[in-house]
Amino acid sequence: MPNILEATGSIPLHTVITLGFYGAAAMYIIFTTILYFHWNEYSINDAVTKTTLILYFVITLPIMAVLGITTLII
Amino acid sequence: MLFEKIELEPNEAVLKVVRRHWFVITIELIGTLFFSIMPLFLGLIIAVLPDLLPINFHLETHLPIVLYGISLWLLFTTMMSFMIWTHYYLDLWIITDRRIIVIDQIHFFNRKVSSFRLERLQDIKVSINGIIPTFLNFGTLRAQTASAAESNFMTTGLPEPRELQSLIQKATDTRLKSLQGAVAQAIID
Repeated sequence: MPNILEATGSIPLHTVITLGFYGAAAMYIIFTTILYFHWNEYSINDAVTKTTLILYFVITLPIMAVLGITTLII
Repeated sequence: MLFEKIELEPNEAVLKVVRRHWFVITIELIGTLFFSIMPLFLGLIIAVLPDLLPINFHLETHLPIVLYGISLWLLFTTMMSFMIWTHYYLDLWIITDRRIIVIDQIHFFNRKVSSFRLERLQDIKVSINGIIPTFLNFGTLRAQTASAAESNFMTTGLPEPRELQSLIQKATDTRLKSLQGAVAQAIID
């Protein structure tokens, strides 16, 4: 059976993983900007806005950190 | 903030701010939660039936790739959840004693803000379809106005639609009476 790390192909796995990380990071930045803008612009409750944004960063920043670290390891 | 942008008229009072029923967002969030734990099910299947994979895969040696995949998946599902929550929270019916403001957050880049004055309201209809909406008391509210531009406003999944209909009708009656009073006073003067 072929080993996933020894897969032969035109694009090395590390390049795919790195490109995937860059793509995800770009999407994350764009999404976060849009989300932040919407909540600041259209919300009617400051407390809900604050809670939502804090919760968003508390959940997503560790995920982004794991994504970055695993990209470096691979 | 939104109320600063809407610019309520002097002495205009907000009677009620309505969002969709909690059941609507709960169902959508459960859907994304199910999506987010899918890698767990996949991992369990691989652990139980390792021969299913056509490649030589060992969790110990491929842990970084597995973590990478799970993180990517969790990131997307989390973003999806926050998008659902944003659409739910920013989708509003604001009922004041003079007008109704309907804010429809369709997508991030598709936001519709409509406002119509209570005196222009012609008809307001409520429909509750299905077992769950009947038991949890949520349904669709349709408002028809005498406006030349957009005359129909509709939102699904609004909580307590009959009470909302009654509130709007009472507010409309009060508004019409106050306008008639103002006109009569102007004629007398």
